[in-house]
Amino acid sequence: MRILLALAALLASLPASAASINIGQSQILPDNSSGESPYLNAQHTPVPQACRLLDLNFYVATPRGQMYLGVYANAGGKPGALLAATPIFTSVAGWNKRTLAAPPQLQAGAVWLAFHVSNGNQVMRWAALGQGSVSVNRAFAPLPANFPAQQFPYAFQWSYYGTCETPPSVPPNAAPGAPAIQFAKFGTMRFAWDYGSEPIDGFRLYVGAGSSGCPGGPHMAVPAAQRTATVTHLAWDVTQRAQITAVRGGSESGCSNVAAGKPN
Amino acid sequence: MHIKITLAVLVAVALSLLAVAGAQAASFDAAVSWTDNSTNEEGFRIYRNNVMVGTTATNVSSFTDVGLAENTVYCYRVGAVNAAGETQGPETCAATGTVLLPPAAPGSPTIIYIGKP
Repeated sequence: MRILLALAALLASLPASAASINIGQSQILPDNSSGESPYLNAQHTPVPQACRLLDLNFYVATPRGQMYLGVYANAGGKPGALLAATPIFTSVAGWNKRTLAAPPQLQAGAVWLAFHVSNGNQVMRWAALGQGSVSVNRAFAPLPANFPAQQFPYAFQWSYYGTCETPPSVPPNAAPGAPAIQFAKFGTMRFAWDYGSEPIDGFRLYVGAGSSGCPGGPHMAVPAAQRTATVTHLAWDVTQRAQITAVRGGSESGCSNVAAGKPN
Repeated sequence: MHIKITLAVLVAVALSLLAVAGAQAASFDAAVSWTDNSTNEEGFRIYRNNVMVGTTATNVSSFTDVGLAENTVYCYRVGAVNAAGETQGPETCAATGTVLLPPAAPGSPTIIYIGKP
């Protein structure tokens, strides 16, 4: 009994691992396919539920040259914007698995799994399946951000699928601790200055604790017509020093006198 | 040459920054932190007085809430969230400080009687 209770406690403490599903054609299809260069292909792939696409897997019977893999959003029944793509890689015989550096979040519906091969002698596997695929004549290059419009349809799909991580089925397994709260107090100060009527582009108001930072430090830009400015979020009860300059055509005047005060 | 003249004029016209015109009301920031006890959260929600005021990403267990008023009690609660739901933790309350201004000075005393009792 004690062992059973310990086992139950152990199981309850384990994280709920996210499940995953395969989208696309994960079986090795019966017919050989070659002559796919210089074509960019994308096959229609249903997404049964929202999930995060982790990797792409493409089956090659006889490898030749290099490949790009990627996934496009579905836009009105056609491939649209590129959601993720792999860097170029040299294909090998069997399943070519490529993990996506930035796994895209997919919504339930459909996407288009795309590939581009550099060599038309590479042999892959395909069959007439699903809603088929589309193809465009395009020189071998990284996948474009948007799938080209000049497409022609195929009835076939290749052995090509993605692993998609589905959301956890249980809420977070432990509540956060009671929050600790630490308040910091801030004040607001208002500054005013005189200036003649000489045309200028504006002022720079420098405010800082210890030193105003004038010139060259962080500052607030103030329009030329203004003669007051309010600075917020200043540390409470800390002496602030302020100086101001006038600016015209990229040239800055000398710093004014220092005005000091505390927001308290 | 034109630039040199401009600079000279700007420097010559001394900017006079006047004394601080007056301090304004204080505001407060709250640094809120908590213990991350879950292993499958996708982020946290931060509630102030039962209203969500912010979120953080997975494993980020601190948040700064800005623009709070003085002399006010604020209660914070944090919820761990993922796609399946939310698990909330206990609430903590604290008050921002009070700024007590000194009372106005009384008027000068008036002598109303001099003499023997």
